[in-house]
Amino acid sequence: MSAGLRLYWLVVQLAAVAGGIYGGWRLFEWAT
Amino acid sequence: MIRPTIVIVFSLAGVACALTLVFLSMRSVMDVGGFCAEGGPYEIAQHCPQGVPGVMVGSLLGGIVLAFVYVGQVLWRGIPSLAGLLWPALFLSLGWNFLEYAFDPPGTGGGIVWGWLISGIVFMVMGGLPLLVMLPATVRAFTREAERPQGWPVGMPLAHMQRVAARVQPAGANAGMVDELERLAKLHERGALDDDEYAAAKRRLL
Repeated sequence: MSAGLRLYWLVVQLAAVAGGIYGGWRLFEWAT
Repeated sequence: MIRPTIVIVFSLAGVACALTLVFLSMRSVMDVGGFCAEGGPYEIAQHCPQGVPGVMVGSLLGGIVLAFVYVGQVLWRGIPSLAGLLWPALFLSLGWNFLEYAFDPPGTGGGIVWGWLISGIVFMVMGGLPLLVMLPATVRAFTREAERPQGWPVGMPLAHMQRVAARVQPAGANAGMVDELERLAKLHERGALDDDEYAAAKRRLL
């Protein structure tokens, strides 16, 4: 796997984590 | 490329979302004393904050399912991942809650809540020790792919791979030696090697 592809997966997964944390926080605010 | 990206983004974002919900739900329960109840025929001394029971159950179950989807995808496709950090993230975040509330419990005059302190220490150890192994392995997975033998799951510690590889290596060497012995025997049978040459060659090989 090339360095570029590894960087792609790192960015994609970090963005997913950030989005998930933000979404979880907003969801908690809405649900409680 | 697009399909695995979509699956991985949604499953990992779902896991992160679930961990956040568990973290926040736990804090809201600890704000009312650390325990609560809903439903049933009994008189409830401490009701749960609104919506929290559903959020907690849903996020735990959903998080487990999505974690399996995420880990399955990255292992199957050989993609470097953050999978090794999920367990530490769960235990360190909840351990943080225990420790914070142990030293600053709500609704009391102060003092340490020893039950929460012990729970916090246990959670920190359960999350921190695996982190010592998994964090370097994760960094390696994203930086030095060349060291990783093809087909190995991402996130497996390099030291473990090297130990297994060392055990596998002699088997390969022995297989090569058997082939060489068979080749010498055939040459001997055909007469290309006389008895002395065959014996000397075999001695060298063995």
